[in-house]
Amino acid sequence: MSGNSAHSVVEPTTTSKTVAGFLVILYALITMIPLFWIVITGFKSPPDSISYPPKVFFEPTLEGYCNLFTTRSRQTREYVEALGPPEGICDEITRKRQMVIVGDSNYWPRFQNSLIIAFGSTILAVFLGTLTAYGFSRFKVPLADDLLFFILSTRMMPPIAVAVPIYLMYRKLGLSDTALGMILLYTAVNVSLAVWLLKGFIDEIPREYEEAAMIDGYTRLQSFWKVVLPQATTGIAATAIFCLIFAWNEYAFAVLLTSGTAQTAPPFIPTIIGEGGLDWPAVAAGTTIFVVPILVFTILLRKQLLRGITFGAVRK
Amino acid sequence: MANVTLRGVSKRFKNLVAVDDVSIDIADGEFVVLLGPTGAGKTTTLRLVAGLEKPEAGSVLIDGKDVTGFAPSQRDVSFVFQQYSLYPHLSVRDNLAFPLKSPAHSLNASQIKARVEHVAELVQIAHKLDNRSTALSGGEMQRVAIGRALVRDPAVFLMDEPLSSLDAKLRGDLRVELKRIQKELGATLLYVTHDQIEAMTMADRIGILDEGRLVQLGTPREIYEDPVNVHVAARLGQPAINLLPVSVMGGVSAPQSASTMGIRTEHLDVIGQGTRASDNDDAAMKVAATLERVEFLGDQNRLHLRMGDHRIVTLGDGDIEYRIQPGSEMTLRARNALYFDQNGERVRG
Ligand SMILES: Nc1ncnc2c1ncn2[C@@H]1O[C@H](COP(=O)(O)OP(=O)(O)O)[C@@H](O)[C@H]1O
Ligand SMILES: [Mg+2]
Repeated sequence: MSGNSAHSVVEPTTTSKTVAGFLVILYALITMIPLFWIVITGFKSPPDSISYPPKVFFEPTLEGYCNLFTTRSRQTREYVEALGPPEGICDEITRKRQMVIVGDSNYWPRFQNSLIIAFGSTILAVFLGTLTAYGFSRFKVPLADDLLFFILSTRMMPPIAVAVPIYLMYRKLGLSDTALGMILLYTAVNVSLAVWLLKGFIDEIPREYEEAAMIDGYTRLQSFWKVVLPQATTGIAATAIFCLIFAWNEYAFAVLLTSGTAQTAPPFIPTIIGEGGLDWPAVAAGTTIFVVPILVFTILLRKQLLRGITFGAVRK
Repeated sequence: MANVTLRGVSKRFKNLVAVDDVSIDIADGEFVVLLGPTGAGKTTTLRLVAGLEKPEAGSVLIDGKDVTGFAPSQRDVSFVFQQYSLYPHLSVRDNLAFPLKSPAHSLNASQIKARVEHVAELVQIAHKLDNRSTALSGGEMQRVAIGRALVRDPAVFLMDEPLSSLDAKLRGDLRVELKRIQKELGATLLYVTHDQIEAMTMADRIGILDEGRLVQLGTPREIYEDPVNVHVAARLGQPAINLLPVSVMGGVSAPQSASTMGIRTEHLDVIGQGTRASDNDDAAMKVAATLERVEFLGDQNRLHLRMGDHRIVTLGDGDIEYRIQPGSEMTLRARNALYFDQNGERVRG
């Protein structure tokens, strides 16, 4: 298959690259419309946010963000006018609506819960997943294939199918509405994905490396730490992102199992009620802020993520 | 350095016997090469010595001590693997220092540095010490891999085809270097290869492995001149030994049970060209053959001949191609024939 280089099988032509690039950009723009809408809605006033036809051009305001972080109460015009000069922009915006800020909302504590539970369960799932995957990859585990399938099968059930038994179990164990309970639950769900992904990555690392280390006087655990882990970082990073995205966005379990102290942001955001129904700008503001951490994390680790997605498709 | 002994060592993988009752005594400072085709059990034998595999039967002794149940780290061996020789996440320097930093050694930083630099000189890689290990050529990588085995002062060096992935020129250079280093250090070395030239040039003794069994163990000369069976005879020699039924050679005084005779190319002399074998030549083992093709190799020519249904190869001088043409008849005389019985076992006259 040499000599004729007019048409290369491997290298796409410039035209096909241009067309492909155009399609990808178009697709990206379309998928980003909802995100764009959420971001602009966060800067609309409540009337603008529900006006029909929808407004693309509007006067931006921080009211949504102020409403997201505060609780307010309505007062008489005389009372509001009798107050001193407003403290900060939110105070000013609130008073224009004849209201005063009476305290902080629950958004920030809920957001913190999300951070603790999502990162906690990700760290735990990746830790357990790495060790389990290493064990399956390197040792003769009896019934290894069946066990691996069993581990994967825990992912096949929709959350709603197991929610009720877990709810009852958690009540008995005192784990319902606790951060620990949610961390354990998300870890249990994520560990199957982590084991499968990481096993693939660790299988790719030749065992000769550890064997060389063991011959050189290191124990198995030391060889794992010094030789396997440094070469598995890509896989670990990719796995961590997948676990984090799941735990961060999880809604069904969170809605059923948390209500107060351990509630995460996803079930909280839709409960932000303003006067006359949902406070859409505040909801949009909450959603915008909620998207930021995962966005940053994903952009930072996008190379690893890509490698995780195309895993197995590309040979080194 | 120490001596190494394998006593009746066997290893099977499911139904496959990878190493079958192998016994070898390797003396202190000896260079032993295990030679065999792919799948002969060479790697498995090395892994058994290193402790990376547990034998089903037999024992491994290092320096007179039975280490069969010992973990690899307790055996004081170093190993050069066939592939994947360097840690890709470490620099050349860190690769070389890695064995010295293990808990088995208590060297301080300056001792490690001195040792690494000494070995880097030895394997001629000092100028690349701070390179990434992935930014080396194949030959350099293999030097570092050998260097990593040399930084320690183990009881025995185990090397699994360390040169097989290199091109011929480098392989030749490193072969010489490795032999020199081994002599300098007085190292005990068990070396595995499928390359007969490596085996012949480096070994004090060669062990021929075939399907897990150690068929013959001896000096290169013993193995070459006095093979125990037809496989060993065919294993060494380039071009390979000519194997012919005893009956095709005229005037042969073969032993009774012999069915095959082996004649090395250098023992097959061209005694006449363009003529039939003359009956008044009293030397035995003469044969007529037709020249099919001449392979010009520079210093010598390989003559491919046809003798009835059989093809044979012999050597001619550098300019023989000018004197004879393909298709011409020639007379050959064989010397030092080796005889084998029906099972390929050697028959001694
Ligand atoms: N871990 C293993 N599992 C199963 N079979 C193996 C394993 N290692 C080696 N073998 C088999 O044992 C035989 C000898 O292998 P090996 O020692 O690697 O041969 P060599 O190094 O001489 O090419 C081969 O048939 C190989 O397929
Ligand atoms: Mg091998």
